[in-house]
Amino acid sequence: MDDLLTVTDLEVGFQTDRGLARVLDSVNFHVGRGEIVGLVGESGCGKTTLARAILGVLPAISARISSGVIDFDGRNLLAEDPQGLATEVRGRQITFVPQDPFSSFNPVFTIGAQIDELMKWKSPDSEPAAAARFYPRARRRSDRARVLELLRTVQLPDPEGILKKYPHEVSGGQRQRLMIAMALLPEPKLIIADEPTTALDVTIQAQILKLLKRLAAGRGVSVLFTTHDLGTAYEICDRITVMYAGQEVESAPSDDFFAAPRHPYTKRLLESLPSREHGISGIPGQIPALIDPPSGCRFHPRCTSASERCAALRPGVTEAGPAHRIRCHHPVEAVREAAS
Amino acid sequence: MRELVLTLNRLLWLVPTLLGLLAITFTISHIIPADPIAFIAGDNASAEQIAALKAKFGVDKPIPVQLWNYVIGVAQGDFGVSLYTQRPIADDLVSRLPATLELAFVSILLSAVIGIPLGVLAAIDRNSWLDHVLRVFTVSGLAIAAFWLAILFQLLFAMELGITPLQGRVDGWGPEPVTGFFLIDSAWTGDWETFRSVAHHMILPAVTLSFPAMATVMRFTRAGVLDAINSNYVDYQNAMGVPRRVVVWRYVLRNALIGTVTQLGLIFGNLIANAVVVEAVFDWPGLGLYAVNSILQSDYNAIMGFTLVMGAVFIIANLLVDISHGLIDPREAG
Repeated sequence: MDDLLTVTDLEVGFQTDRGLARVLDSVNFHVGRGEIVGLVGESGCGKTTLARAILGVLPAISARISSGVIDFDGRNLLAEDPQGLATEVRGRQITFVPQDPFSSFNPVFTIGAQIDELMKWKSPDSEPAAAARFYPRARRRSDRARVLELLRTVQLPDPEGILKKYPHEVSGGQRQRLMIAMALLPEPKLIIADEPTTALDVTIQAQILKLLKRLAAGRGVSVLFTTHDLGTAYEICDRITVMYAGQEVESAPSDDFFAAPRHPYTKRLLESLPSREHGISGIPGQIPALIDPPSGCRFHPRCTSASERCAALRPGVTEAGPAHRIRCHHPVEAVREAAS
Repeated sequence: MRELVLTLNRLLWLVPTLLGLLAITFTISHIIPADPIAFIAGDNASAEQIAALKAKFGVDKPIPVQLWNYVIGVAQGDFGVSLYTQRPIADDLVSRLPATLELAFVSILLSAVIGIPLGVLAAIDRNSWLDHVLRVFTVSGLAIAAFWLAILFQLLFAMELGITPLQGRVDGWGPEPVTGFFLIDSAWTGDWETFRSVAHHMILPAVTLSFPAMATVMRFTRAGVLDAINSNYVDYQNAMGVPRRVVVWRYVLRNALIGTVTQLGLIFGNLIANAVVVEAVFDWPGLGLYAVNSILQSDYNAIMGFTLVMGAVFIIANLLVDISHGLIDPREAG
């Protein structure tokens, strides 16, 4: 299968005062071309760390990548020179939509100035190697036309006016539309959106998600979308990967995922969604500390199907169906929900 | 428009602030146990002579009346006459203010031009040897007394090495006065020989004065840069692959300077306070030296005049800081 991004056996640790926190434990993950993948998990499950590892912007002082391969479009990002990645890949082939669109804009520059700076370095018309010490006038003009065009596409009113404004002068939804526009401007192959709607009102969330999905699909851009909210993932994702305590546990096409989850954690997670029949129910137990995590499958202390094998050995990746991969010794029986 | 109204509002506040300052200085200088009249009259004056002198200077009247008369005079630009030289104080202040302002401006320029880049370097290479060296420098800059440093500089550079003048503002008479700022006046008339002499004399006092100011500028720039570098917008630009040097020197610095600029107003106040001793050591003919002499002679008209002018300078400096704040940070302008 021709995937755009394949992460294989990625191990990432964070040096802390109390020891090494093993935040990603041999994670396998992939994103197909033009595919929108939701990376779902609770806070601290490692989804943001995975996203940042792919971008190559883990904190240099504390993060340790001990093993693994991140294959993006035929190149192993972990083996390459970081400087080269910053100029050639980041902001060109992989772009980023941040969680908080307000604080991700510099408060003391106009929006136009910040978009100009991005286009100066990352315009699809520019050569990555040529250091943009100056910004050629012809390109500046064509870039400006491109920017205005895209601002209209993301349905921002009065694009010329917005470029002259400061970040605090536009609304939260508009700021995130701007961020999506900025992620699309360099014409990337992959957009990494790290909880892009968490900071927004619920009503605006849906609009932003639909916009992101429509634009990505229209341009054939892949999207890696992290969220802790299954509902959000359901709205826009082609496929969903679930992480628990630094391990990926299940990855399936969205329909399959919600209809027939195979991993006990996923099943419990879906059951814990508030519903009219059984109200709100949680999963007993607590998320483990990553300094000294449980051996084997990290979910086994909380899992009702767990056996000794689960504590001894982390299960390998098994195909549970078409494009449906799980890592579990005792998968839940694939019972299709009876017609309701 | 809104900015203009705010500025005018601030300017109006100058009046009550200065009145308050005036009342305080007036009170302090009149309750200290010093008798300038006795000082002028000498040891052998008769009671009649002293009474005549008191009447002449208006100090025979009750203190509230004296205060009232003084305020009326100041409002008309009359700061009274010096009890010591009998010259109008306003003339003395006007002729000496430029020397102090010139020294202060050069010092603050020096501390900004050197302190800001060093602060940035210390922040981006945090805990490097440079950061540690600069930390020692900033702590000593704040801790060392200006007069002591001034004397050390004199001993080393003027006496021992002989590469700078010992004291004074210029060799000879100085340039034809236009603004009273010797650097500007000499450059204006193209008198480069005088310009060089003025600059040469300026080095030691300006460096002495800028030392603590530079330390403050550096500390605040470092803190500001550290703060900004951990912000989400830097993270975002990094994630989008914008080169780090562009992010630091263009985007981070602008944010970091908001705090530094705020400090500049306060630094200016310290600078003026230090100028008093530094001018005395370097025999710099500015207001500081004037103040020292006035205090030694219990010339309280002169002391009050000096305090008022310096208060006004300090308030105006902070007004300028507020205005430039609005220019750097669009959120302030509202």
